[in-house]
Amino acid sequence: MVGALAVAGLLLVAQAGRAASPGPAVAGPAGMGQMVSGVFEIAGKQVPLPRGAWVVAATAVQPQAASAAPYGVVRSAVLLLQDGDQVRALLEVNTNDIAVAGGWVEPCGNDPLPPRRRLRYRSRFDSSCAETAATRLDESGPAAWQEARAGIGRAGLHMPPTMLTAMALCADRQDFLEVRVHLRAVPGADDAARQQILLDWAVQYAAALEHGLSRRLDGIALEWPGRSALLQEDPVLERRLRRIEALRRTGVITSHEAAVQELAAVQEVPRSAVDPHPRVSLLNRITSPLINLGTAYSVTRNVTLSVGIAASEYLARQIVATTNNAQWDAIGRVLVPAATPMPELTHIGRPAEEAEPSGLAALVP
Amino acid sequence: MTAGRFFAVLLLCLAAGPARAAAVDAQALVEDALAELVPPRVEEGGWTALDGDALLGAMCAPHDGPVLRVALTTRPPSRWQHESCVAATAASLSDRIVGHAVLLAFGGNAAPPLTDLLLYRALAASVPAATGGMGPNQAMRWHELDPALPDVPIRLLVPPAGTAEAHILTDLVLYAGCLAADGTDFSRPATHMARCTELRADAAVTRADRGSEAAAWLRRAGPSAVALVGLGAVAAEPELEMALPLNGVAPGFASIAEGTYRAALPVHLLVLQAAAAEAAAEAASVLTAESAIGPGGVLARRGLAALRAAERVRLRAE
Repeated sequence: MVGALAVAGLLLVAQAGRAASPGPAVAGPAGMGQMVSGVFEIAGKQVPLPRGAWVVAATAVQPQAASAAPYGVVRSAVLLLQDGDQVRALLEVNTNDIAVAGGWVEPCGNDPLPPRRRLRYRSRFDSSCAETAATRLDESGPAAWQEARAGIGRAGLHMPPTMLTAMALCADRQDFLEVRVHLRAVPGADDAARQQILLDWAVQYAAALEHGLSRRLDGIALEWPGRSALLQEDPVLERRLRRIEALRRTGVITSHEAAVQELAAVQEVPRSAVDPHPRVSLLNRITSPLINLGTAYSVTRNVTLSVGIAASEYLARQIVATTNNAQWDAIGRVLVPAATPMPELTHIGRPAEEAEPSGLAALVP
Repeated sequence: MTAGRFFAVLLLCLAAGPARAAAVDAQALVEDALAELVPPRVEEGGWTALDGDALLGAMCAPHDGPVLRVALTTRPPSRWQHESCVAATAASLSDRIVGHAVLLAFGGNAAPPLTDLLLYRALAASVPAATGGMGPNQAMRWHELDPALPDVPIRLLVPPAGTAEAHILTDLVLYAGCLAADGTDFSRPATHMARCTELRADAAVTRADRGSEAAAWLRRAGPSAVALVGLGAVAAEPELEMALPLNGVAPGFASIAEGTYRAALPVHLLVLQAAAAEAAAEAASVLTAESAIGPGGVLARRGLAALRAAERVRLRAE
């Protein structure tokens, strides 16, 4: 469903017809060439847009290998933000078209976290993570990127060969929503500070994206990373505190209730599911050998034999438990109803590390 | 440029007469914003901008009957001043930190890595001369200050005089740079301080006016220029994107709150009250509300760097 119209023409039409300043959030899905700010809607979800007037450069579906997964298709869009004749930022979004019922298999992966990735939380059905990278903006990418790239060329816009990328992903039992924001590097912090600012921002973005998944983005305004580091600590928490204050001012809740809720709000953090097994295991590991030893002695009246029996039982239990833990993912796939495998997503460009060894450092002006 | 002048000087008298000390150059924008938060209760009352000394004089002036005076300032009273004020007014005086005033640097691709020492050597009217002693600052290119820096013109925009950011620039940044360059002359501290903080008046330095735009100035001044501004300018000018580190520390919520970013001063909320507990509580409550001191709040839009969320909540719970 790649749009046939030239993006260049659409950009010009869109810009001629609208002021450059950010307008109100778009109420419904935006079409190709349309200018949006605040929120972009796709497949029934809301995508938070950093400050600015974005243009929908391309929308498309990503073909997937033959799959029985009942999510329909993956819908993709590429939005761009101009600064004169320069591409200041690109935003690519991927999401499922039809809600599933049993969640997704490891949307954030289950590998050890690399330094530039943060896992916000992971439970049986919900996951949220953020990551930063540098992306080489070459010809590789999904159909939406091919269309957007052609339009950018036709419009005579200049695009840096490499951009900083902030990735955020949220998934729940029904849907996943993945966004990559590619940013032009701006003068300022050095490379390490820039990476930290970008990663902090990506985590903030993931929190906002979580609200977009449930269409509750109203009142969350996102600044760009450098400005966000100064002006926003946590946009989602700040919206919550403002709403608690509004409820107090209108008399819906008392000052005391507001104070209690504010305190709870700043202490609340998204938590991954807590595995109850360590507590149970610890208890078992202490009590079971003692019980076994007592039982064996009451039957055999022989200390050596009793210790041998208890130790053998303990050893056998440990072998089974260790095997169970090591192979749980494989066992779980057999015992637990299967979740939907995450689609194989194609993204814009390639990691800069593959293209040039200097990676992010290459972006420092 | 929206400067944070009020942090040094504002006073609100709700139930007493107007401040007796002379008001100086009040900022209409800021006063409007504060009046929006705390409207004056009596005809004589209202937000008034005062210089640092006049603030305490007005705050601690004798009064008849109930009194409620509220001030936002980066210059809190010392313990002696506090006790004198309480004794003179027979009122209670509370002092709480509600945020920070902060000086931020923005620049182009060729802006140098900034330190207190480099800013002192670029900005001060007189600097240590190569032949010994002090001499007029004639450096016009960054390269002249450090051969490792690019050979491009020095262009610096400094905050409007009298603002909290100007105070931070002179008293914190330039003085620290002066100490690093020249040591301390404890025998004549006032002279030494003046020598350290007097700004040069040539083309290298531009003093910002209220209402001027730092981003527009940066565009005109070229890629080696550096604009020193307050957070109010950042809030008002979306083009200001990535603040430059100072002494290797990037400004942000954590570095400002922890004090590792040194070009910042706490902003104190002073409330002096006698027999008006309810009104005092209400005034303090409005001034510590999320819509006032939170990110994006009325005071934050005028240059107040917000405390961390947990600290704001704790402040309101006190």
